[in-house]
Amino acid sequence: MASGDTLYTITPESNQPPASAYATPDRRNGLLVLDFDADTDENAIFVGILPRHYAGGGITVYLHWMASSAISGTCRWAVAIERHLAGTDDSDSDSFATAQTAGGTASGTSGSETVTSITFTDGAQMDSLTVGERFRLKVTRDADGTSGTDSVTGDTELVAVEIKET
Amino acid sequence: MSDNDRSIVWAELMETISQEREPVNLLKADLRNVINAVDAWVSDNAISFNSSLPLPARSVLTSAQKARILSMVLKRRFLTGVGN
Repeated sequence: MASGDTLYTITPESNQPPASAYATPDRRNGLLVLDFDADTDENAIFVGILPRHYAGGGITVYLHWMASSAISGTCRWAVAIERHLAGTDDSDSDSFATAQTAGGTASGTSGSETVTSITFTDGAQMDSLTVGERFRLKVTRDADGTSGTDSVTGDTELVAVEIKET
Repeated sequence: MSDNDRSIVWAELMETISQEREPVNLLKADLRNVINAVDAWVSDNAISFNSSLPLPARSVLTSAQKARILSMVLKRRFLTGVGN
């Protein structure tokens, strides 16, 4: 395995939400999605283990999403990684690295998805995560636009996440 | 209304249209401007509304009762498609 290969795919049923400000499960024509509010930053958290075929480079996270009703505007996404170093890190507290962010434009067709990519360099941006270690990936809609414009009216729906070695 | 109350209406409206998946080709800020404008219009026309009420109701009903009547009439008009 090498650069360009998919490391992980994530779907909404894997969400392990925080105690508050969480994205809510919803269905769209039978498709399970996670709804992120337009007026409050909400989060989804996924747990994984960095696969053995990871070659040590940076990663790109692809967010597959739709707007519930909007057919214009930009959704601002933030993704943060938390490495769990066995024997050192404490699962009773959060230690996510600084989130990386990007904006994506809603499709002009409601129900058609947009794929927004966010890149992480190997090292601090990935919380120094290495092969075989457990991690959490937190996906946030930056609804208040702290890191950039978020102008999509109404919910945005996360459908799937792909993690690829950059 | 206060800015916070306007924000609550804005959030509720976005939640509603999201749940019903009504296509909306407006940005969040544009929709918030609509809420602000409607609320300002209500304030600006409150005296006119009150004047339109027949006596003795105009002097007997409280402001809250008049507001309830207005909201119920508007809601019914919306539900039955009057003015659509």
